[in-house]
Amino acid sequence: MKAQLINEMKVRLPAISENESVARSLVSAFSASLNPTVEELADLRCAVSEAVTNCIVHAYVHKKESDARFFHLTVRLYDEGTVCVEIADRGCGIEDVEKARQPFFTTGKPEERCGMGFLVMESFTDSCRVRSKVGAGTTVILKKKFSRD
Amino acid sequence: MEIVTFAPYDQNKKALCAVLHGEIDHHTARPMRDAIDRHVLYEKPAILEISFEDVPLMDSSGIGLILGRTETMRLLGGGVVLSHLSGELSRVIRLSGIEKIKNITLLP
Ligand SMILES: Nc1ncnc2c1ncn2[C@@H]1O[C@H](COP(=O)(O)OP(=O)(O)OP(=O)(O)O)[C@@H](O)[C@H]1O
Ligand SMILES: [Mg+2]
Repeated sequence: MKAQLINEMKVRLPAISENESVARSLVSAFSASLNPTVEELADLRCAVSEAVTNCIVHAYVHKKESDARFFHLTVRLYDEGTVCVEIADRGCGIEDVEKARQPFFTTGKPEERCGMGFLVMESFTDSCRVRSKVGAGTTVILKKKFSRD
Repeated sequence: MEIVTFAPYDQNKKALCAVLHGEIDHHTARPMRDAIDRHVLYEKPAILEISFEDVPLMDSSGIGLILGRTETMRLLGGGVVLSHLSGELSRVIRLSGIEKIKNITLLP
């Protein structure tokens, strides 16, 4: 049987670092109806934090100050207790996604980045898919199934 | 509320203890880093303890923060002690493998 969509949220937020905690809060408030455990929710929040931070830190590095910098956050809840979080930017894209996903690969060295973002996203969710096109942007799709009693 | 508070400096042990407050992400890591570095460069301690007792969440920015301070302490000939790590935070730490670094010590 196909999972039924029971609720959906879409927001567009400026790609500024203040919105890292905003995105985490939105995702946890919206997912609460699926009764996740404290640990499951903490894991999801951490994974979302990584994806959103990447939009803010990496996606718009080459853009001028006046250019629009946004990311789109979509959260879908399914009746089987699954949450799907999509984080999309219209930034520079990733040339080699497979390489970018390698643990500890980073292009952000001087800013104390350590290349752990994708590792956290993969480890703290059930699936992490990345779609990216150079010059068009990047979309990360995180899925997590909550155990429920 | 201050984002980092400091316990009185322990002259005997040359130990500086920084207590972090709030979630650690890319947004909060920078002011935390600046506050810690200011104190470290002033006191030049042998041990920098970073306490996570008041940190409910930390993403990879926290690992960057720890590694950066570890490098500073290494240049001063000292080490870093991480204390009061919750189960959640320990999982991020374990993923990073930083507990294997010589001048990092983990306290429960
Ligand atoms: N949304 C994005 N747009 C453009 N490039 C990206 C995006 N997300 C990731 N990347 C690229 O993939 C690399 C790896 O990302 P990852 O999140 O794993 O590590 P990081 O952001 O460099 O460091 P950390 O997340 O540990 O602070 C980044 O350094 C960057 O080059
Ligand atoms: Mg990252």
